[in-house]
Amino acid sequence: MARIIVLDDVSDQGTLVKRILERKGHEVTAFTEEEEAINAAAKTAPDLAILDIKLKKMTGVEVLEEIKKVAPSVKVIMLTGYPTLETARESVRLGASDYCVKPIDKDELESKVEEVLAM
Amino acid sequence: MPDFKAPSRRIGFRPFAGVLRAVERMKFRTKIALGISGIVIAMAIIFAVTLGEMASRAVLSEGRKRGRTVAENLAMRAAEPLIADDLLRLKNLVDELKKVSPDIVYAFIMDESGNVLAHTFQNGFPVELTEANPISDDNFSLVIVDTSAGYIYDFAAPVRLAGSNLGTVRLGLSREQLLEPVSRLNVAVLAISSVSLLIALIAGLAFAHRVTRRINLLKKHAESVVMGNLDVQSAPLPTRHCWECMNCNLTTCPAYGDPLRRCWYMAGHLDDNVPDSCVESCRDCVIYRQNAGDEIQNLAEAFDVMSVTLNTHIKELREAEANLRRQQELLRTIMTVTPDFIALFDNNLRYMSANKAFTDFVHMPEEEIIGKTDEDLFAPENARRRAIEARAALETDQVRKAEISDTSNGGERWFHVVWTPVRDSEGRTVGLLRTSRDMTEVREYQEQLLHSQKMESLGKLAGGVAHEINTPLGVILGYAQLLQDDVDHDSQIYKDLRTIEKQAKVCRQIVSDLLGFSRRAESTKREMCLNNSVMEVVTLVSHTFYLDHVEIITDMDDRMPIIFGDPEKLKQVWINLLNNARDAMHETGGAIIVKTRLYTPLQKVTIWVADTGPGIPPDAMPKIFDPFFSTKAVGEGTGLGLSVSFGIIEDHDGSIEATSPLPNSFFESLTPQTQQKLPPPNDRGPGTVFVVDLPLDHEESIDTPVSSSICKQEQQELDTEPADTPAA
Repeated sequence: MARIIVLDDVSDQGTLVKRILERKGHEVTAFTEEEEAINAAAKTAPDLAILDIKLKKMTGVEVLEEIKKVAPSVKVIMLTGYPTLETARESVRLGASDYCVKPIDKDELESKVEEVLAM
Repeated sequence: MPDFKAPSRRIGFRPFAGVLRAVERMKFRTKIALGISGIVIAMAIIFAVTLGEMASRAVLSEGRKRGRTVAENLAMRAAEPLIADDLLRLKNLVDELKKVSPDIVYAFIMDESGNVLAHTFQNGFPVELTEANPISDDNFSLVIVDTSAGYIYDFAAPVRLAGSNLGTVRLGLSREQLLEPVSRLNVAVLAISSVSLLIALIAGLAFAHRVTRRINLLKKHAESVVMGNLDVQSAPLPTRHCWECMNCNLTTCPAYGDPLRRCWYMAGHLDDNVPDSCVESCRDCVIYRQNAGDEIQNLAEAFDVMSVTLNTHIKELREAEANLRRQQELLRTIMTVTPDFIALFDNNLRYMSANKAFTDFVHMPEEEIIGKTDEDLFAPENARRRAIEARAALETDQVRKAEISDTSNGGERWFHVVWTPVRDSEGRTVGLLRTSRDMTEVREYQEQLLHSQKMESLGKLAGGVAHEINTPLGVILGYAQLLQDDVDHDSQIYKDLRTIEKQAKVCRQIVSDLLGFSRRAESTKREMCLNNSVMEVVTLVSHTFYLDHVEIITDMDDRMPIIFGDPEKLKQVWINLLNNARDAMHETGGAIIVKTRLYTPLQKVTIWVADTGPGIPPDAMPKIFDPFFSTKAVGEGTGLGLSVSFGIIEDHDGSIEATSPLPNSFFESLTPQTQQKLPPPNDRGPGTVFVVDLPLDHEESIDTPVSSSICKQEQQELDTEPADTPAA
């Protein structure tokens, strides 16, 4: 049981992740707006944030940086449909726990989340 | 100029001309001998005639005087005996007279009536003689009587005593006897003349010999000059050389040290260093005075100078000729060696000349090409195009360029052809120069460039599409998986959801491939061990392949080649190649041979991935690296594998190519151990081999402690953490 926030500009994607992880008994909140997600994280730091790299206004990496500022303890999984070396390197540097490529498998997502939460 | 209108006039000159010619043809010596003889003989004749005439006149005049004296003396002495009729005394008188002088032929005495009283004739008195010289007026008379014994001066003198005429005395003097001394004089003159002639001839011939010998020497030298030998010396050596006369030690003077040439023949060639005394008039110069000779020597010296000058000129000419020949050969070499086709045309577009590249191209010697036109050498359409351009160049007098294709030698070749009008020195167009360059390779490069640009655009497009489609695809896949948990696993809905999931995963693979294809430039390269990279993949797939009855045989170069590359991407290439090979033998099963070889001098490593499958049909061969080209059934492959591999290998500055069927040399190149593992030839298909060339990192990375350590380190890493499924 963990508190997880999901940030994706496509609400269906966010909802999908939320549905999958809720079934595993986690408390999941899905956002499509960067500010809302950051504010939510600032209010009560979640255990895990799953961030898409391509967002509406900011990039996932920038959001990661902001979240790490407001809640340094939060673990982060980056999720992207267009993986590049730069974003991967930058994400790891900023403290992301994992870097996954879309479309992600249900089983893969579940195991990755377990893995990261167990760290 | 022959005068045909008056030939008769020439006839008269003919003998004279013949004589002149004969004289001209005579040798110089004969001419001198004839000349001297003529002069001496003419002088002798003149002397003899003049002298003889004068002498005979004097002698005859003297004889006449003497005869008159003798006759008158006889007449005086005969007067007394006549009166006395003493015939005996008269006879004695005439006989004595005749004995006195041998030139007295006869003498006789006649009385006044003309009767001969006494005479000296032995054989009777010739009666007609009495009438031959009659005396008139009792005076002395002289007549010349012509007798059989020659001319005789007949003197008649009257015999008088006290005014009365007693008779006549006659005396005959022989003219020949009188002229006897004159004849002797003439003989003497003749003898003297002969001796003079002989002496003059000998002297003349000796002189002529001396002159002709020198002229003949000159002639001989002239002949040898004509034969090409210019190193002749006709003039005699000077008695004293100029530098000895002047004691000048002027080694820069061209005359210095040249014993053959006279310094005065070098006037104008002497440089400024010549002392002032040398450039004064040669006539006053001691060198000239000591060494100058007669005209023949002058001639010989001039001849020597001429041959030296000629020699110098010929040497210069030869040098110029050699230079010209060298230039010609240079030009010919350039024309022969150049790979461009060069041909020269006249105004009627007929070939005047063609270089070797062109004659080789049309398989015809230059002699046969000359005079022909393009219609004779090229296919009609090609020839027509060439003729149009050539005429346009001639008419507009401007350079024309065109790209022309030629299929005459099998296979299409492209030529960049330039027609340049050729002008003469007066600016008239006299022909056309055509140069053609084989552009086939450049065209191929152009096409390759176009192709790679196409691929790049396609890659960008694919990347964009993949990016956009990934999220919705992920949602579809996720919900399909999510829903599967909510339904009964035996229900039809569950099966349908499985199908959706399966097909969504196919899409995901396609998108993944597209991404790989589009982002080939992004890679994380590092020093890596090629063998490890290949073996890792082989180990990974060999079990799965074994289940499909495909065996992987490896033949690795154990020198541990180190390359600079992206391990993940290269693994993707190996997997692609192995998968392709496996798929080719999906039904039959067979073997995949993986061989690596290191080529240190070429700084490259080559990987062969060969299969024993049915091979690639020739028509499919050019397209196998194209994106989305696949021979597999729909749903079994995207056709992106090889194009992705192609991109990855290009990104590594390497090359990849395929050959089908497998060349026999491939099997022969394998080690004996590997050959033993091969399936028997009967079980093998034609096969396909993919050959990948990759550049080595750098020279030190081959079989060195560094390379071994890299390979060992990688090996250890592999052993400790089991390899993940490589990212597709």
